[in-house]
Amino acid sequence: MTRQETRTTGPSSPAPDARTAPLAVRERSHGGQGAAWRAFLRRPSTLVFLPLVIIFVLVAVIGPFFVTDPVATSFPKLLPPSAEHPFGTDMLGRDYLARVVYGGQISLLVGFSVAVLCMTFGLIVGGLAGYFGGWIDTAMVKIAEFFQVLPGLVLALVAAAVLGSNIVIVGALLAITMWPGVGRIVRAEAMRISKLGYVESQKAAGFHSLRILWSDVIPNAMPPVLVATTMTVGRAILIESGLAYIGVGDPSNPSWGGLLNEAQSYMRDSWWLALLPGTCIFLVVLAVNMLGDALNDAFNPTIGRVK
Amino acid sequence: MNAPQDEAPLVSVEGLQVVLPTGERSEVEAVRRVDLVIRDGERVGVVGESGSGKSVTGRSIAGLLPTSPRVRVNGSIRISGQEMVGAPPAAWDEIRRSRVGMIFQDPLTFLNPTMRVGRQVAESIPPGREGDGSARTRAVHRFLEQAGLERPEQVAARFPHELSGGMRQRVLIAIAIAKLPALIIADEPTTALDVTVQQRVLKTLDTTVADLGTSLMLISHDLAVVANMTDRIYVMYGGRVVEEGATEQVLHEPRHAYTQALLRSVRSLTDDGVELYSISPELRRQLAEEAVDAS
Amino acid sequence: MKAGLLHYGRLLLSSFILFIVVITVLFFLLELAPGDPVQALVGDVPLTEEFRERIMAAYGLDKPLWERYLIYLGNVLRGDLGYSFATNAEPVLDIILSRAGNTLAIAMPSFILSTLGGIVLGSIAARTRKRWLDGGISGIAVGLFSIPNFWFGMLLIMVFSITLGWLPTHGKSPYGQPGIYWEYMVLPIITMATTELAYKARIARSAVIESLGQDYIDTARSKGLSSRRVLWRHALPNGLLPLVTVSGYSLGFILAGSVLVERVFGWPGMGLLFVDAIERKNNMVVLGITIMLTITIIIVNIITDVIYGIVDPRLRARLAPKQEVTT
Repeated sequence: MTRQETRTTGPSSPAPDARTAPLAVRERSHGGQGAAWRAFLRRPSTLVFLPLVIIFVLVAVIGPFFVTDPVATSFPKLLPPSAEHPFGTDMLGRDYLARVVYGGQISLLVGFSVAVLCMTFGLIVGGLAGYFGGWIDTAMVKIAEFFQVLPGLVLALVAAAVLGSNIVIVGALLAITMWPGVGRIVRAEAMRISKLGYVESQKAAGFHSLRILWSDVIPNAMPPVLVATTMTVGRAILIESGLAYIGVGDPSNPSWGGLLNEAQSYMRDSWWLALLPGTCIFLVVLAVNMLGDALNDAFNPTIGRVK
Repeated sequence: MNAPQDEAPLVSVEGLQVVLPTGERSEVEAVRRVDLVIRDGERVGVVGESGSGKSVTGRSIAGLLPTSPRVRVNGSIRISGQEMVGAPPAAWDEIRRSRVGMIFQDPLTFLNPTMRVGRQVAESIPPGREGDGSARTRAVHRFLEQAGLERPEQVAARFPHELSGGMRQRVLIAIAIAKLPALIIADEPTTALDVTVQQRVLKTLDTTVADLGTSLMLISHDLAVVANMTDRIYVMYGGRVVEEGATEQVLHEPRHAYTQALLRSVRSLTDDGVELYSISPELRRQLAEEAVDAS
Repeated sequence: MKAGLLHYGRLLLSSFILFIVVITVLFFLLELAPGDPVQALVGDVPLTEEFRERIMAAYGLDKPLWERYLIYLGNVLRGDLGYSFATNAEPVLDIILSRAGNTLAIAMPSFILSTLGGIVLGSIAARTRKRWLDGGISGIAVGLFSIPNFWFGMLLIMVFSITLGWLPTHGKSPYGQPGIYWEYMVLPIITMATTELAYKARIARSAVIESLGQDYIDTARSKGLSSRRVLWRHALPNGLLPLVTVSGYSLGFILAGSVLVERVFGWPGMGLLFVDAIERKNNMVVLGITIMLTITIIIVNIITDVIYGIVDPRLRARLAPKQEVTT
């Protein structure tokens, strides 16, 4: 609130403008972010899907201590799920639960690190582009356009073909192709804010641009950026799974998509090989997408004029 | 439809209360027990600042509140004696098709950007009234002309973005009068226009209403606009009517403190350019207390 | 007229520049490839010394970087995408064109189905007062685009081909038969269309909701029009404008996604060719397909822009001179 008050108003009039008149309550105050977070946490879909994501992350982190060696071929081949092997065994006689747990590590690691990278790039480049405009802005728009023309999946495939496929390259490529999504949001917010009266006066008062970016642009851009970042987790997991399914990635340490690649030839008789890793991908991606939606609804409530 | 009773006024609003949602769990009582009457051929002004409930009142009479189930309307709105609160959508459609025309504030956003102006006016002519084909087209041109648009054939073939603001507002007037309504509700019809255009559009509205002999409900935050165009004035604040009376009387002998302040601000506007509604904080507080007491 | 020409002139120019940039990026990616450049070009096939010389000469591999770049650029612009050394040195362009028809045979129906279906479902969800219907459609849409597309295809195979035995699992025709048989197309088309349909339904829903909240809907209602008419004549034409752009992009996604879908169903199109080429490090083919895909997407984007200019009268203005009418 204090920032708004630095806006210069005439000394004489407490004249309310149309939007702050009594009863026409249309404020989006800064205190509203806390309320929005509480609204987010109270949503039914949050109550279901946030624990789901947490469970998946926990399993990926501590699961390896509880399962057998994922590469030990010490069991009979292609056993269907049973009490002893809840997820069955695969074509080489490896415990499939262990493979799915380890696969989840890769998938989730890629998903979350790509999202964090995208958010970081997006905040920095988008913020600078929107705030300063000029050539940085043009460059960013062009780069975003570029990745719209060349789908990330294809570029990652090409790069993997040429550079060799390992999970670091895949992650880096996904981040490179996906960050403009976040960047665009930050850019729009930075453009909007840099034109507001109080920011103009801060500029005039000699505030450092980076400080304005840090203290005004980024906090304001945060809600939509978080929504986009959340969605990025899901999209990155999906694209990585597709790449791994085609054989891009580390074959000795397969992600869920890599497991599906192996399962392709065994669909006829060993349904669990294809069903289980795919279900994991689906559940995680669904959960983060639902959380993204819930975040979005909590921070941008559509109210009133529902015709 | 009930047969209109002779003695029933065109519009009779009693104890109108409108509650609108403002958030997921919050709502606001935008109109609080308003009584209002518009007789045949009468011109009524409704004055108040943003949030006073004047627009919501106007929209209620045209049945144009948001269609969300969370919008609640209580009290009574009778149009020619027919009770409209709780009436089925078809009854409201019928009222809007032939009895009540509405003119909105922003002439650009209130016109469909992808439809030619002529068709938008034609849609407002009740089916069958003007025949069809070329007769209907001629009617469209007649209404555009009546709304003060020269070369109506050309205007009819345009899209809204190809017209100036004043012309668009005239198109909205044409849409409102094309159904030959008994009542025109004009909600801030000139606020979005610049000052020179405002006067001319108001003049058009004035003559059109006079020619057609319709009633007018003119909603505005601008006392000066309403003063010249109406017979009677309702002053609204905080969702209720604080003063009602003949225009002359309200202007010259305002009884309510808010009306007095409103009038002072209009005068001071002409004198030394102080902003409209420079109402003292004390008066605001007093009004707020009044609102609480009354409810 | 001038403004219109200028707009499309700039569009063409920027599209061309974008195309050059894509080729440049691809070229330097290839340069980054570790090891022997000749081997990187031709992939994992044994080479005779004489053949090596020919490649060196043809691609100027002994020349400096910038010169090689120009040679490569010139080749691409002349339509020379190189040769597939893994398969009897066929021209890459010929190989790609021989497969393109198969891909389009499933991509185009998917595109049309997903667009129409998305619009219909999205509009229903936007308009209905029944919360369960809106919630159901929206929920299914989120679910569908959270499914890995290729895995959805695998599920369809397991249910409809393996368990029920209704449809074939693999290929485009019975073994040895030429042409495309419809029963082989069903599952790939459904797989391809599903994700895009969900995505479009979501966008259509919010676009129609948005346009139902616009002021001109109030004007339409003030005329006493029925709610059906308000929807069809006012809300939909405006609300669906953004779908034009979305559909343009979606064609690109469908084509890129064909890589996965064709792998699932063994559908012998460009996508499968692409996967094969990657596995064999047949880089000429990989680059060739990427370039063709890029060209297609760029052309589709241009077409999208033109269509948008036709359907939105506000943009039509830039094609025709503005005649002011004044009062």
